Amino acid sequence: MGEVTLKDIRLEEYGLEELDGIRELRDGMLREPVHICTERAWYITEYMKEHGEEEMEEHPVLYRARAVARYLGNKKAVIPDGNLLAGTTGAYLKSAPVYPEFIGLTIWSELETISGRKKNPQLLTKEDAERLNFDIYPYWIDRDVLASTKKKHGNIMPIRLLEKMIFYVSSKAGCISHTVPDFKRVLAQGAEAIIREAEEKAEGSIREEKEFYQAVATVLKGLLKYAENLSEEARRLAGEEKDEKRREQLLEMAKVCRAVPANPASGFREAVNCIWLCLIGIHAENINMAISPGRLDQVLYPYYKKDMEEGTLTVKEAMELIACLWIKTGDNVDLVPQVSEELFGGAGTAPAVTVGGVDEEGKDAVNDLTYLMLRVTELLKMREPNMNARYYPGRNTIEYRNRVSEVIASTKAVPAFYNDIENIKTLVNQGTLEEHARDYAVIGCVELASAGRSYDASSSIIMNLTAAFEMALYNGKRYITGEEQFGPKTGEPEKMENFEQFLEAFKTQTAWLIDQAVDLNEKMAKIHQKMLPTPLLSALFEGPMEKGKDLVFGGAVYNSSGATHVGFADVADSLNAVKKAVFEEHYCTFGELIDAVRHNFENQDKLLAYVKNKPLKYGTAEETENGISREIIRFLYETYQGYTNYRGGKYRPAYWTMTNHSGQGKITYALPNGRKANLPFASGITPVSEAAADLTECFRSVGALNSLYIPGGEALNIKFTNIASREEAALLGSFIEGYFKSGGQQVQFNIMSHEMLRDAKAHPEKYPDLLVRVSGYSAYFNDLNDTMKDELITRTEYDIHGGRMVPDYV
Amino acid sequence: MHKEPLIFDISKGRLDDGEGIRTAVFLKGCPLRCTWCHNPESGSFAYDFMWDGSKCLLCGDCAAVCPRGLIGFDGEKLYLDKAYCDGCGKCTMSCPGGALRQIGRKYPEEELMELLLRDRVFYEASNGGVTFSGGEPLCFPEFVGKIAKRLKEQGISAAVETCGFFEYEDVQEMVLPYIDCVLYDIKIMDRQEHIKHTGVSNEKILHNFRRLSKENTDIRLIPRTPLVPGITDTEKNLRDIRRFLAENGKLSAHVLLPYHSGGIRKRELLRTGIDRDCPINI
Repeated sequence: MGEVTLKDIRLEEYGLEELDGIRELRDGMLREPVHICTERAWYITEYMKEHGEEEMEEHPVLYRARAVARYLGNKKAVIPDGNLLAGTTGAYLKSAPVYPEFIGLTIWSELETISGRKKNPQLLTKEDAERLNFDIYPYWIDRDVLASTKKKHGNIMPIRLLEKMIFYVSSKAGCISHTVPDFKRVLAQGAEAIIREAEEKAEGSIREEKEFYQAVATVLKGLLKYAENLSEEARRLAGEEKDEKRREQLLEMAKVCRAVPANPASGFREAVNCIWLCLIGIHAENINMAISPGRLDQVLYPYYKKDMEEGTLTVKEAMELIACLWIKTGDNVDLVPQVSEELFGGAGTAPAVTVGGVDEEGKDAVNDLTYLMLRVTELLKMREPNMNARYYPGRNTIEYRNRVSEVIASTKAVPAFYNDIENIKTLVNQGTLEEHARDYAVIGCVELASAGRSYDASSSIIMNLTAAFEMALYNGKRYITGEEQFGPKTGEPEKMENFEQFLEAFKTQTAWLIDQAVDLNEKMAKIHQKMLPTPLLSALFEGPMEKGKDLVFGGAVYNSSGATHVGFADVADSLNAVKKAVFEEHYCTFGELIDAVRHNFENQDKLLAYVKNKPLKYGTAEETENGISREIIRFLYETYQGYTNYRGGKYRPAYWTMTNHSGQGKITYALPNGRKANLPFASGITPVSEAAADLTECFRSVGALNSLYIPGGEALNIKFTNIASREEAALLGSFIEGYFKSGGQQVQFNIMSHEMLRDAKAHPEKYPDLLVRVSGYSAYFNDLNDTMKDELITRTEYDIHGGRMVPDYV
Repeated sequence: MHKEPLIFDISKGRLDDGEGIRTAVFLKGCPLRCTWCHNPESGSFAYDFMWDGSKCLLCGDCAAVCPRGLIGFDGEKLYLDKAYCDGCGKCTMSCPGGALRQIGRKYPEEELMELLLRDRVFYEASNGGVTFSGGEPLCFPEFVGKIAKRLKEQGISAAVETCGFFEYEDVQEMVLPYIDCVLYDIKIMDRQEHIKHTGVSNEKILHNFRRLSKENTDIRLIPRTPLVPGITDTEKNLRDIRRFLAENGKLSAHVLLPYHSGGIRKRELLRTGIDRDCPINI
């Protein structure tokens, strides 16, 4: 049950200047260059080389635990700046760690250039480059996930499709991660108690279970060793420190790292430190993609409350600790090779924090800490953590709703808003107990998980829906791959007699592509079970300790795999266009339409104008009633739910795209909705730019899709010219209320005009830290590539007063 | 009294036409001709057309479909003779680029109600509702009253934006029982100046305002003045308006509206290609 005792929920008296050292920490982290860190890769590889693959074959979980523990025990204890939290994800203040088991090898050919590249360089020392080149990469070249899958299955169709890069991304080659751990147990009991429990359970069990418990104990001991090393380092630094205040901080740090995560957290400071150390531990084992801290205002509240009541903590100190944690969550970024930089550059690792909403009993869970976290977010205006605010209309207060709106207006981008009513309903429909569904948190971008209970691998598949559409248009082929036959032969559209035949062809191609992607995901999952069990993450989760089973073997209470979709709105509009132009109005023949698409609408101004203006557009009320969007959503849901994954869970469709809508758009040819070749698709679940002229219709159209069919989550991007006052922020709150009552699950905002974004593109120096929402996460505008910048600029912009889009006159 | 109006826009999600989030229904036709009007397409009670040359592909499809042959297209010049138009809408429907827009359409009552009820969740979330605007909506008291009554039955609040030039008795009887709020323009206090810039005297407008503020105290009356540079925003005019409002107990509700110049481009679009002497030249 939430308690709000603050006199001023805006916490206006606490500005950045009032929080000791936070501005310096923030600016320091923003300006810090990224260093590629090979430390983890070195220790893991060293262990693998020493112990050989036989041990891995026979004892995969234990083997993994030993390797990770080896790294943690030897990991350099780094206390690099004035942050109150000890430790770093990599060996630098800001690192891009190399995970050679996954896609770490992709920079092999760039070892000499990556430090000097123009856009988002990642610094690599000569020594590290040599380590990678001679010691690390040669070992993994035929052993990473993709290579291992190929070795086992050969160059099968699902892998060929993956490597073409224009059909789908099967994320298991690059990660699992994407999860929300459970910190409650380690905070309440301490890691030593979990180790004892694991050792006791190991005594009483056999084979895989025994090994799993041994692995948990082993890997947690590694984490404790790291905390101990940090403690010693803090003490050493304190000895050298001349500034008295910092010396005290260091001594406090030394004490705290000795206390947690080994023992139960005794108060707020220890609890925050414990979570940070566990996050470092999780990243020692799992790649840094969307490891999401979850509902921190709930998890940390008992510690905050106790300290406040005992008078051992002040609001200012609590905010400083929160700020330190927020800044720390951005201390690592993904390793990005040049090709990914061009397609998907600028992404963070999307560690999602979720605040607000209701508790497990369904009561208002907003508390003082919720407001502290919102204020810190408002002050820092940083990419990390990815902030999400839950809102339960009717149960959370209007003051809370409007306060979140104010933070959005002031940061121009965050947090994203989540509708508790719809999201809880959709999780319950997926078999989650009501009380567990109410305790959901956001994973990474927008995906939903019962926090610490549900292992959702929510980024398993990123499906390019326009690939399936194009294959329906070209009888199983793609435009840019010419005569190569991929999908089934669903017939020449020119010979089709009615729209239903074409729709059937599209569904057949889609189902085929899904089948390929699921097949590959399952095959790679088996490799994961051999190579990459997750004993440390499993120890920080509900289920594995009870079942004696690692997460990758289905240890969690709930399981699922997520599949997100790129190009949904463009495909819906293209299907609507085919229906209207070819079959309803006979404006042109199918052959003529395909011919125009094949020639990128060159010399076809009239047909282009027609398909852009006349067919139904997703994002309007008429489309909701008579168009195709809802049918596609339902079809995808039913198709995915027909598959059960290797952990016994269902596949869940989702609609968020990160920067993939821009990247995939760049390599996809023209479409019948009038989108020309190589331009970005619409993002997430958002209607195509300028298709939804009316804001409320846009909201209602998205709401009408039926969230039960979108269990994986959705990202709706809305851009406003400006929100200038508290009154306007409150009205933004009213729009959100109406959207949520229409059935919407999620919405995120950019408060910025066409002009301002164009100016930012032309004069990056004027906007050094401009934060923008991409699709499910935030980025710094200047980090994005030009395609992505243009996509943001041309997004539909609404005037909050007129309720309509603002025409873009350029 | 006009009976069945043409509606030239239904605009949703608006914040500046009364309380909360509102749908505004724009009724075509106005007894005033304000020189600065930002909705010049709303002046006439008959159909109008707007032609955006930048979107026109000069395909001639509109000319081909017009059942009355009102659109001239000889390969060099394109113009539309709207005097005989019955608003069938075929020309705009055929226009692929959306260059030609018909201003004004008749809405069957049920269709209109359905459109106005669509945003109900947004009204409820914000104490919003429907606002009748124009043109001058109170030129159609029977129509506005009928729709407002049906909205009221559905629990939806209705407001009216008016220039004040209406028949009080009709409005009193047919409209006022069903609306909660009147946004009332007081533009110019000097009678001669008012005639000069709007085409009519302000006598009736001020008279109606006095009655409304005295006789219908349960209706929220919000006087508004558009700030047109050099015309309404003069010190003297604003002072006179304030005095008038103070006399009627409405000074504290007074709202000043910023002027925007959107009407100029619209005037251009209303004329080009539509007046025979102002064709689109190919």
